[in-house]
Amino acid sequence: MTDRKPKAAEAEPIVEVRGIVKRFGAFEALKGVDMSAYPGEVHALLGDNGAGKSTLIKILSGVYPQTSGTIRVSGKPASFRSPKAANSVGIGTVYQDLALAPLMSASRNFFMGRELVKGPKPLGVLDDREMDRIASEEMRKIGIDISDPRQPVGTMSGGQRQTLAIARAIYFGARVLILDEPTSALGQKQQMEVLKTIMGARALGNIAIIFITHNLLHARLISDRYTFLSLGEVIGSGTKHELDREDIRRLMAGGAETASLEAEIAAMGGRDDGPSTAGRAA
Amino acid sequence: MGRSQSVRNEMIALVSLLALFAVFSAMIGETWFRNVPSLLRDISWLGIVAVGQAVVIVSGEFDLSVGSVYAFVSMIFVLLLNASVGPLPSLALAMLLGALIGYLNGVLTWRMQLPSLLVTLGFLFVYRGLVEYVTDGFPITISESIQSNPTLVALGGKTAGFHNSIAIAAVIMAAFCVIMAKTRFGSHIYAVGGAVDAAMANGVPAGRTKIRAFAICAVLAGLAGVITACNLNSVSTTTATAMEFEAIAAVVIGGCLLLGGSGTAWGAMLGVATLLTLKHGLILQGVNIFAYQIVLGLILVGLVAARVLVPGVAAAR
Repeated sequence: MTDRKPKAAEAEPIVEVRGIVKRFGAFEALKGVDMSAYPGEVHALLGDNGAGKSTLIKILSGVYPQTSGTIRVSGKPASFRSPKAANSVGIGTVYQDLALAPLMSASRNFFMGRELVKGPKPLGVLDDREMDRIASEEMRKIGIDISDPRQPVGTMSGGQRQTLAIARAIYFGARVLILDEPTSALGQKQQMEVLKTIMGARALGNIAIIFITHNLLHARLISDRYTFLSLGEVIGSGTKHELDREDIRRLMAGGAETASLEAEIAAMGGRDDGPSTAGRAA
Repeated sequence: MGRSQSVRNEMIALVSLLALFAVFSAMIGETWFRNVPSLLRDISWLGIVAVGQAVVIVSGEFDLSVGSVYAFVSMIFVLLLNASVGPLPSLALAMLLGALIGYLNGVLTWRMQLPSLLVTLGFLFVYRGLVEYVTDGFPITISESIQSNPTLVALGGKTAGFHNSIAIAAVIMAAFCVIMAKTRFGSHIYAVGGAVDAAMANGVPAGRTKIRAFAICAVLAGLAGVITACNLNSVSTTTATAMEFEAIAAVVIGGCLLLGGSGTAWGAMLGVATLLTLKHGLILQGVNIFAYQIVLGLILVGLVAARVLVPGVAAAR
């Protein structure tokens, strides 16, 4: 992973979102959002709870339609009536639950609902050897070697499971990979495993990754590009070269209102720059 | 967890079966060995039902109606025979009836999202009630003129001293071992039983899979009933009473997870063999038949408790 530059600064975005508005009754969840995701890049989508991240993701993955605005996939206008429709143009969403069956083997999970069969159709039997081979190979491509593709998913680590779900989405045609808070609810080591997997998927070069997270550290470790949402609007965006640490921190905090909260906390006896306080115990 | 877990439970059942067999051989001797054909016959009857029950339990549901379906389908079969519908058409219609009964269980469970435990408990009473209503409590006998028909003999007769039903049960068990382990439908059964939301998110036809599981279960229960009727040349209102519980107990002894997602047809058959070896042994020992129920109940509770207490079993979830 030597090439950490965005691979194609002037490449066409795989997915391009323009002026997306979503209303639920009188409530406007998204107020005209723009965002583009490029191949070989990790695009962090950041924002506080209620910022509109989930709404945007659900529109992109076909869960529900936008009120107005356009989505273009590989330059062509797209509108999704269902998750299946989004899937068929190459948008793969990996949700937090990962859609895995813990009692089944890794390779059976990889091919769940799309099993490979050999032999004449009505009497065909599952081609387990081929499914094992492909599942192992696809997971290895993005950086995790599982020793036994027949081990039950319930015995795999959180990081390995995430890798399985991501490798599966890519193998079945995802060119835009939407990862919904993949590092939440995991231990430290497993979080790093997941980030490594995401970098593995990025290194394939032809996949655009939209990475939703609350964790600023994780976003800074792997992202090439950022979009910050707050109350349904984009409050900042740019590549990692355009935004410095301080910009990112401020935007992550949701702009002005959290800055004043931070000041209040500092005034109540905390310290201005949080992280160093931990070292003073004992 | 998962496959390896159910393999270990199957091994426990196999060892228990062999141990019970050895103990009864030593204690009872000659009489025990002369009883083996009838032990195998009983294993084949309950075994066919248990294989179907295993399919339903692995798919994450229960079928409490199997005993009543066993009696009801075999009663309809005998009534058709006595109404001069030929043996093969009667058999075909009986199996179709089984499929419809299972389909109804499945549709009510899936489409209306009702608990299968309650749906099939309801039908346990409905079909048993129908049998009692129609027969008025008296056994129905197959007309003597038809009793020696080759189809009925094939289902209910003996070859070389062993009941034909043993071979039928063996074929059914083997077929479902392959179907469960090596077909797309089989893989879907494990998927919907282990994690139905994940299965649906990946495009597994969950409703169709579960409905088919119920249909298979009811067809097998009906087939076992028909085979029994051919063997005994009659159906009585008490046929297969409480069989649903024996079938579920056997499936659990044979390593199925009650919550679904794990278990095999081979394990179900092993469970049946273990349970009935115990039953026959106790009877031949002269132990009061009711003691069997007490022992069975204690073994079942003990087994379930042991699986919870053995370290590592719950670790994966």
